[in-house]
Amino acid sequence: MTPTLNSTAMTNRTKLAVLSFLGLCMFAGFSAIAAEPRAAAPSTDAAFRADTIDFDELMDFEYVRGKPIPANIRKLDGKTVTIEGYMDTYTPENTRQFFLMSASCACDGEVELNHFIDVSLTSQVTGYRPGRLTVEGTFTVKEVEEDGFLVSIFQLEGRITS
Amino acid sequence: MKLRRSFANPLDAVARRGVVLLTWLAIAAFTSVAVDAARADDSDTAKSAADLDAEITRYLAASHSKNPAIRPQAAARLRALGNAAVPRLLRECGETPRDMANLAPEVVEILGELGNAKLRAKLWEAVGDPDFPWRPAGLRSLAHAPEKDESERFVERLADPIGAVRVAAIEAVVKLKIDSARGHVRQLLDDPNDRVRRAAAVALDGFDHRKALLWLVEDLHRTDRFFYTETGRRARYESARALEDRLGDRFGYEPGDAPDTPGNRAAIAKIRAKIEELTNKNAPPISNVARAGTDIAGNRLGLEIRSCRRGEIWLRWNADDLLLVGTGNPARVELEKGTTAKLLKLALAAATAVEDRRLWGEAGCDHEQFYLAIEGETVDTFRVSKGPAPVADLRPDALDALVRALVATLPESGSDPRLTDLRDRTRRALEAVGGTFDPASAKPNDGKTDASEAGATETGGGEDDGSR
Repeated sequence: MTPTLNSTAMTNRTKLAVLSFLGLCMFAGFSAIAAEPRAAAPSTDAAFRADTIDFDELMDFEYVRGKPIPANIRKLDGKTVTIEGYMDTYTPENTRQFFLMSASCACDGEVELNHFIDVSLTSQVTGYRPGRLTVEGTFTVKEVEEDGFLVSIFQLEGRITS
Repeated sequence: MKLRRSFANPLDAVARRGVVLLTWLAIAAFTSVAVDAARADDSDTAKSAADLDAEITRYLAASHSKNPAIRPQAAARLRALGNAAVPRLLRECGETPRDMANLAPEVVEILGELGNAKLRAKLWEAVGDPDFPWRPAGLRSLAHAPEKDESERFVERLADPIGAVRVAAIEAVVKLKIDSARGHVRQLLDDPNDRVRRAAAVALDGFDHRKALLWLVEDLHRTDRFFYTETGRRARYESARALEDRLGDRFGYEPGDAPDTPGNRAAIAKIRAKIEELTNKNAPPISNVARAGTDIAGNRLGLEIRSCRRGEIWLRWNADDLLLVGTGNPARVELEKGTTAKLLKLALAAATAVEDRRLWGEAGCDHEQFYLAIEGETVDTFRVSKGPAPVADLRPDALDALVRALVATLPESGSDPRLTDLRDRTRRALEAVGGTFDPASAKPNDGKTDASEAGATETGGGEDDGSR
């Protein structure tokens, strides 16, 4: 019996150690995120060269699921681009992901799938900011589905530059 | 006969009893199976109803998703459920438009397509309530499949204060082929809202007034901006698409390029020639409101009010003490010399007072946005935004003071349609969004209490919404 008890005690100690380690990792991770600068400072990275694109071009077709996206837009897939837009008003605080919208509000009706970009920040966190902003990064044209819903057709991984 | 004869011998009685017994056993077994089957059937029906309810619940939840792509898809799936979804949706609509406002606008937008008279009645009631926040979605919903006996109500909505409602009314009028409304739609070619003008042009083209397409051609010349928003460029794209739909070609027009490139000039000439080919009728002159606007330099302060309850108002105060009302080719009002500088000082004080904060309220369909151009280059933006629920006093005091001063510089009214009741409309829209700001104590920095005292003089015109 004693060896079993010792064995259980050892297991609990191991578990405690693992949990403590994980806890420390999470704390360190959160601290790292919290310590990151909020996206605000303009980029000074001269090496970052991007093609400028705009929402007017991305919106210049009627997106219908299953129909091909126009070639002039598909050719942007994988390119480094810069684009201006508006942060979605539902953007929470301290997030690495937000939707860049073509307009500052959805005042004119339904937002179509080609009217916004799902932006993932690689080295920044942000919260909602009114007004226009510019983002730079790798643009992807891909129909992304989650829980049976098409959630985006344009994605961008990069950063807010202004 | 053979069977009866077979029961005539002494064993018949036993056989008969056996047959009777077997028959009863068969009946009992059949009844038991039938009852079980019926019970199973009932439980399947109950399960289906529960499944349906769960499915509707899931779609209703998804219709409030923070992802803008999911919301309309969830609503489309509710629509695909058809009649089966109607009882639950009727319950979700509640008793009053205020209850219905809890639904996502995307869901409101599909209710009219379910072909249910009770849902349509609820939609009409909501559209008639100026405080129902989803009025554009409500009328679009009704306009998807308009009914003949609703013609008059759609025609009335052509004069709605909200541009998006007028657009939906135009669509319904076209679908219902209401000939008597043509004159009214023609008036909307001079609407302060450019989306309404475009919808009117397309509708009239459908009514065989092909010269109405010239209003879309006018947009191809636009280069106007509202601070950093390229309103002219967006209009060029939208009109180019509408013209392509109607004429089958863009004739080489590139909306992303400036309108005066040789290529675009040639393309516009071809489009005009094509329209001339289609009809030899004369077109009425294009009014100032619909004329192509250009980029006006020196904007220092701006106020964009977009209220789903009170309409849209776009105002700019520029370095030359000009008040610009509307986008596109705005109405111009001369202000007393030094007015913009005084307002700018107040705006800078407000910006200092609010420190880093730039947003008050939550995402919604009512917002007021302040623009402050520093050195004419950097534009700082402050936003007050309201969701469907009423909020008493959302705007911070620092911005209240600025609002009072801005409103005091507005003319009460003017001959340009965008100036009609401008000060009152602005006051009402601001109150609908950020709450009251005590207009009675409105005093610009120089102590004058209204635009006439401040020397406001109307000089020309552009574009706005909400004047109807």
